[in-house]
Amino acid sequence: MSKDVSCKVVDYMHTVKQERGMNERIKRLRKQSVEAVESISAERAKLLTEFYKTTKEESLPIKRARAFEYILKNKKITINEGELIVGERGEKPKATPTYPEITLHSLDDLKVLNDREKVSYKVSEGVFDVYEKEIIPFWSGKTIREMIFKEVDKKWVNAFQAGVFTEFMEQRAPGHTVLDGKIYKKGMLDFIKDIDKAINGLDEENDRDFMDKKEELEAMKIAAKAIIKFAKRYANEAKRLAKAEKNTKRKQELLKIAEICEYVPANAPRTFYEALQYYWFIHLGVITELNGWDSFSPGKLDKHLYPFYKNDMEQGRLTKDQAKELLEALWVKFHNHPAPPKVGVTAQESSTYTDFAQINIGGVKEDGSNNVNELSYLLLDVIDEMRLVQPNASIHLSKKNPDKFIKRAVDILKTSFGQPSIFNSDAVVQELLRQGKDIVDARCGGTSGCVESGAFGKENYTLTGYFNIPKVLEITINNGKDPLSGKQIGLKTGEFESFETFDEFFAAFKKQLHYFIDIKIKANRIIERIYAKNMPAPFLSILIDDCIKKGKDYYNGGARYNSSYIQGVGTGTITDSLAAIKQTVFEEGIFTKKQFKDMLNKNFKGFEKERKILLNKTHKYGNDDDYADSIMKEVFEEFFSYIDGRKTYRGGQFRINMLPTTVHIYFGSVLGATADGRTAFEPISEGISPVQGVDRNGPTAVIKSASKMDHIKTGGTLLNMKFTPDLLKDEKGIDAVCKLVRVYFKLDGHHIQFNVVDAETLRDAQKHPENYGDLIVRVAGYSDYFNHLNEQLQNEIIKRTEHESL
Amino acid sequence: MKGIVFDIKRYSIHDGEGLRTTVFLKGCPLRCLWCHNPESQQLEPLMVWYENRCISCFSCVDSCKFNAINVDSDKKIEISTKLCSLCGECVKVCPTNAIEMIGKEYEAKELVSEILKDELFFEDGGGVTISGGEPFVQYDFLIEILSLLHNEQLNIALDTSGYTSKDKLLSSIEYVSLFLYDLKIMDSKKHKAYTGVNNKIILDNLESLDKNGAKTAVRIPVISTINDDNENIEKTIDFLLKLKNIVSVDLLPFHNMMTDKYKRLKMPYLLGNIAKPKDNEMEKLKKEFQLAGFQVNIGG
Repeated sequence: MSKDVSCKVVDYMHTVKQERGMNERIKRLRKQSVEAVESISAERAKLLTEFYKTTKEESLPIKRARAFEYILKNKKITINEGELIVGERGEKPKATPTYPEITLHSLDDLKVLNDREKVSYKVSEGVFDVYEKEIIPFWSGKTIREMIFKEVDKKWVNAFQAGVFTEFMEQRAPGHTVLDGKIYKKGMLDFIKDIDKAINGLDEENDRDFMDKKEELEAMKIAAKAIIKFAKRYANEAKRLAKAEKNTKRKQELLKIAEICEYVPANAPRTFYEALQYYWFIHLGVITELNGWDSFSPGKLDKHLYPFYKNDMEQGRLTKDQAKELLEALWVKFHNHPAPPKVGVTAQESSTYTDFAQINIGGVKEDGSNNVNELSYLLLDVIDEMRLVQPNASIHLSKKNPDKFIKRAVDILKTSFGQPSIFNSDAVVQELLRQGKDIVDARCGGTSGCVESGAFGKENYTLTGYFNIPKVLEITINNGKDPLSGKQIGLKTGEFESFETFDEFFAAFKKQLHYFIDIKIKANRIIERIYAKNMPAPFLSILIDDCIKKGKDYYNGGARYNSSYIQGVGTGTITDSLAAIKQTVFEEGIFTKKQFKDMLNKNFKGFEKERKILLNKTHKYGNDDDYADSIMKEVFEEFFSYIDGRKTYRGGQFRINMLPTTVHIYFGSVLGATADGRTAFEPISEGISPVQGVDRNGPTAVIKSASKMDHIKTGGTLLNMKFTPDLLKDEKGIDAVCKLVRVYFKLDGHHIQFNVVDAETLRDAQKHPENYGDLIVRVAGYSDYFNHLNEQLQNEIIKRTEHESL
Repeated sequence: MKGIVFDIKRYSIHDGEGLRTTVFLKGCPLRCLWCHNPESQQLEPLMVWYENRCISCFSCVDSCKFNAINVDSDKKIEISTKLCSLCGECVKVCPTNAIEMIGKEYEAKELVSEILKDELFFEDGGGVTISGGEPFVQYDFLIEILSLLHNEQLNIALDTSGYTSKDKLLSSIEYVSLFLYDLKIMDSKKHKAYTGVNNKIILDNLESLDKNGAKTAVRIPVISTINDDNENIEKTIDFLLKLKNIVSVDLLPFHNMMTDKYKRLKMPYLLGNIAKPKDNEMEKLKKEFQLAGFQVNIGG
């Protein structure tokens, strides 16, 4: 009788065009940040160029360290009104520097950045001028991007242009780096002592790398001193402002800021406030030194800060409200720093201002025990109150964490803001252990960026690019040809019509898959070498074990663990396509091979009925249907076993993970019609989620399907699930979602994220963006302002939502 | 043995405790005018055609060996119940699932293994809910699946109208953790007028269940102007106060989102235009039951 009882409630109140924050100060700072316009700052590029033009330094690491020092010494110091945590990368909030040593923007690029509809950056006349006269003439021909395109081979270029894969390092340096707890125990002066010790310990007589190591370590020392001096400049500015300040309360605050910036990062922090300000200087240092992917992340903030919080409270020098205010002030600082500008394919694969600084909450401690503490809940309160897209906050749920913790997180999720995302802490530990990491390093790890697992403070884990698995199928069907360009870019594995059995065809697909993986891996070794040889990062190297101990740069194998990831994309699309071919061509003979290929090449024009058969009558991943799911497993295992464990240039291993950011839109745009009934150029499926709209058996079936993948073999997967708000409106709904998560995690699922929105709200937002400036949706591994998404992405999210609300 | 199931819904959160899979058995002796699932009433499978899905390819017509499918001048599909043998060929060939057969035959074991797919989600009080139609219409099949599910140590809820023989009803007690028992209208004439059957059996059966210690959640569809009047509510409360094992009263606000089902099934929808009860009206009812000492849920 009650089949239709839980029907949809339409009167959902979306969000939040309101001022948020615990008090007037935070509201003002948040408003300033939200309303600030993203712009290009030429300050860094200009200072860097000045330095490079005048320096006589021969040693590369030292030159890089001196360049870092020069920028920090001469850049504008900005303390915004009312701030408690200080430090800006640009001259003002959201002023975003460029990194011409990595990628040099042409005047055309700058124009595109300024003019494009989504994710644009205001470029002033002055910036165009500096670029034309100083930056472009100096850097042209010297950038990492140009080196990469010069050194990779023709096969790679063909595959790259066809959209078989993307390359992360062509515009941004390797990143995804997360800090552990070391800065809360040591000041930069302590690190300098460590570096000196390492220098003294070098074996000049027997170590043929002695000189390289010494130079690298000296460079680290210069960088450490540079950040101390940078903080002192902030101290001086705070003092100057204090002198002129009439309001006595603000005067006191500025003097306090001055005192703190004198003390950290030179010394280990003594208080909660000092710890936060210290982290922020480190963050600024890393994102100023280079434009590494995913910004920089503090890792397990509740774990690191709790001792300070507790001690300050006991000493009576901090209240809960004060702690919260400082955290909210830090949240604004993250939000003030959009991702460095991206163009071309890179802009398409990561079409967002979000720079993916991720904050991990919960999980386990070194000894494997529950890490959820009072501060974990306070951080969740901050997320709820601030509702900002940056930082990207996540909870790490272990079987050892209490239900209250996940319930609080789901309670925030239902506000349709998309944060926090939820990770399986126990699976992350297992993944890291499988890769051979130490148990304590694994427990102190977590995730960064979208979903990527890593050993915090000890690992260089680089994402190298997305891999378009459905594109490889298209190339296989066409005997190695890319039907869109007509170019023969793959192997000749046989005409589609010539395959007698599905297994033969599947084998051909696997062969093509290997071929393109080989091309990518070969190029990634070249690219890693380019960074290792040309772009040391001495500041970052101070922060990651064991760069100091080894006397080696972060980009040159200095980290304790080195992993390079290839991100598989299109799990749903490839599974459904292969399942459809197997069923309709090889088993049921509904279509002949010739007809099938013809339909795809004609983009189903004149074959609408046949397309509907493919859409509606074939096995689909996401329905707990073993026919489809076993194909998913087989493709996954093939992708995994051909990549995992292969050697990188840095002496690490290649690994896989399964996430898309926004690349599934781009990958779809370079892909013709697919065998699952998808028409040409439409997006492919994202993450490990089913193809949009084909999961018809509800969320438990999706979870069952997704968990047939062996997540422990990856370094992260992304499963997106959308809920309309009515499903979460009461206690029962929240309990049910918590249960879903718990079961998924019991089955070793890595991560699940929820979008709580209804289609009507979204459609209205598309029509009246002005009313929804604050509407945030979860895109894929991150949330973004709905208005910042392009129409295609918006439509996709609406489509998914509709499906869920039926 | 085999039974006819018209839907299996996983991730049910409003048909008992925890996460549940709800199985809907076909066939119902009642003809409630507000029935949300009119397709469940008839025991035999039922063919339906969804006009909005149809692309007029007429594959169904070609596939039918019994000439049971006709196309009218508006390209509308008519399936003759007389000629149709329920062979399902047309369903198989329809590229857009515009033709559906409502009601699928399941072997009891097969149904149980379908339910067990979500076993992991059933911990912490969740489980399986058997609903209808009226499950007791397929009594032998019902008892077989109840006993199989019981052997699997699943928590079982049984959603019933109570319109069955006392013996049959009581024989299910040993398997069932919670009965979801529908109580519609206390006045027997009115009950007969709106549901087609007398409510005496229903009320007597509820008393018998209660005497035998069966835990029961009473479910009341709240239908404005029909059963939300003071008199009916008071009588309902008075009746329930005599019982000892009522764990909750679930008030299910009536909605008319299913009216297009009637159109599709070519069944007359006789209830007329009745609005969904307002939130405050539901709250008011909730209070009344709470004052009488019941645990009350809105929406089950």
